[in-house]
Amino acid sequence: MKRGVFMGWLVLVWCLLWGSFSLANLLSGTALALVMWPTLPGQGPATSTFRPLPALRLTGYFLVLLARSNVAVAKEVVTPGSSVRPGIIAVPVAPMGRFLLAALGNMITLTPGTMTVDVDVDGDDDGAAHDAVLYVHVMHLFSAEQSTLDILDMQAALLNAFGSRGSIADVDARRDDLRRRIGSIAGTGS
Amino acid sequence: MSIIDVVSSAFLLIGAGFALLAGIGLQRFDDVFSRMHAATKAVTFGIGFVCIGAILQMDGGPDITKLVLVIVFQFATAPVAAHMVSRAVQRAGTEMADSTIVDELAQARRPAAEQAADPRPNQTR
Repeated sequence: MKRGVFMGWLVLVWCLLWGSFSLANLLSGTALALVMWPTLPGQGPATSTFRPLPALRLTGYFLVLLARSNVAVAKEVVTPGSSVRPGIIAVPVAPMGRFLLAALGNMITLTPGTMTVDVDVDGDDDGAAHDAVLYVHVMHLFSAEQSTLDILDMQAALLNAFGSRGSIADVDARRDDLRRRIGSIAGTGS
Repeated sequence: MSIIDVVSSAFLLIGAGFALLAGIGLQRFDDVFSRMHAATKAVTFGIGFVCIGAILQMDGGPDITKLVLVIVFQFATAPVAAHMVSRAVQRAGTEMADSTIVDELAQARRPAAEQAADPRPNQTR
């Protein structure tokens, strides 16, 4: 089944490359996809969930972050001197499948001031959700807690569109915990 | 000059501007990691704008779908390339900029014995 989705994607790319969905293109694309069948990953995206409205919100949220990210980099490039406080922080994310993890890693790299450097995943590549730690390079690191919360907010948006209910509850619990910690730091004035 | 021409030119110029900024950023930033920020985000954004500008100039035809694919694959692959480069750099032990505040990845990768002897310093604030 999941291989079928991959095959559909391959045929779609093939037709887009040729620029038309003619019968000849569809047939030759399908033939090529069949030849490639054994090499396709069998497990595929470890998500069977898709919620259209949150997915739309995720797209909008991502485009806004993308625009802000580029304005931020542009500003950093043209201002004389340097205001960077770079650092690499470890971000334990809520368990989710490899496909969503890769999507989150890409989103982090494309959004403001953050870039995925490395990732540790517990367990095997069996399509199940495992605990994972993302190592993220942050350009303007003022509070590790705040930067971690920003990334978990992004994960929440992603899981709302594609994740299981359990993983959404997990990431929400992590965000609440972080908010409390940030609040208590601000409260004691340190 | 039609309104389409104006909009399309604006997109092309904005895209080229972002590519230029990325180049200047590569030159100006301090270490590989900071440079990758400029090299991935601004360039991806710039290519997106240039492709949209080019699409606006076309009257249909097969090339439009190709440009759409260029945008899709640029967004899918640029972060992966940045990830591979920065991971390779990190594993090779290249030094980070002096202004670096904390490196929890290096701390996590230290041998266990060393970590026990010197519990990880928390210097985030």
